[in-house]
Amino acid sequence: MKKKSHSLVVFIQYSVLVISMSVASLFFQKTADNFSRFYILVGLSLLYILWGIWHHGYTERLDKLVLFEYSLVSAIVILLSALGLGIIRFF
Amino acid sequence: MLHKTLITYVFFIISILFINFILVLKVPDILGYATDVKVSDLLTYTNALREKNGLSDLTLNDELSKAAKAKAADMFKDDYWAHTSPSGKEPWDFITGSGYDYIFAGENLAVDFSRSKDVVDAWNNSPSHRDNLLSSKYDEIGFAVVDGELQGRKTTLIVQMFGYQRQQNTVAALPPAVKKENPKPVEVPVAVPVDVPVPAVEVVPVIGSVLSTMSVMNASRYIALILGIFITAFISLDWFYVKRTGNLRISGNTFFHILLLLLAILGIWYTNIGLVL
Repeated sequence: MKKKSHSLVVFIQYSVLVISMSVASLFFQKTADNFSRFYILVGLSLLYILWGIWHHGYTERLDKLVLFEYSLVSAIVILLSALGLGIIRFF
Repeated sequence: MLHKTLITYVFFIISILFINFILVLKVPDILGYATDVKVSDLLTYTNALREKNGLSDLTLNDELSKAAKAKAADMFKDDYWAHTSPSGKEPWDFITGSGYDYIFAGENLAVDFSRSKDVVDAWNNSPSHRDNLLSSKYDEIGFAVVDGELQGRKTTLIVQMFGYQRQQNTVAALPPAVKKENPKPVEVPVAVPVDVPVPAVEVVPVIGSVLSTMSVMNASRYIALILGIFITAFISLDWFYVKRTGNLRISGNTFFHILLLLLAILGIWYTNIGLVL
């Protein structure tokens, strides 16, 4: 019973992430303003860190290195978005 | 085991695509389309740049703005992005069509910008557009910032038109108003057109710097794309190697790291950064 409930929570966690990514990509397509698009990707990146903490905390695999990994991936996504969407530019 | 994992990941990707597809169909244009480009800001930044270079301010002219709006509407209607329309209409046709009788005129175009300052900066960074911005021959300006669909995607077109009117070469000399007790009929001088040598109409072409401007504008975008693809490929290789060798290690969910990076790369690929013409 406990295992079943655990699987359900993990399933919900993955569903939350999948839906968040889908909704973010929807919002991304529905706006043409680069700043709004940047904020959408920043929001998704921050949500990803929170999701990582939630998921790994629940599965008892949360570690400083895991937290660092999620933060690093999110920081890379934010940096790439800022460069790629023209928020910061190399002139 | 590897196949089961692969099927799970493929399921995740298909789920994201499916949910997104359904949402796009069910939620049309919930956010609308907007940019922060404003005529007042474009004028302020243009004049600030001129002041910095010791030039006089340009005055906003309604006829030039009308011409700029007509040009933007024509670009959306005939689906082109150029100074000359497919039917051969020149910028000057729009200017004269709006009733502006010019001696000098010029045109700058921009597309896909979100901020007014970025537009003026981009024009300033292109030598031929800068020549227009900093020409002492102009004293009036008109703008159009128009949203629409160009070549299959929503965007904002910005048209900037410069001019110097022929009518300005008339002199209006009116005497100072003096109150008299017994006013006598006086001959009031009226505005008299003065014959001044009119220079040939100057067409200011700004084509020619397009390619270099585009590549400079998109440099950051290409850097981001190359960097993103490199990092994603690196993480994917690492993930593949770990799975194949069966090494155990404490780490985050590599699949979703890759997915998040791919979303960002696709977003950058899908987005256009402002261009000037």
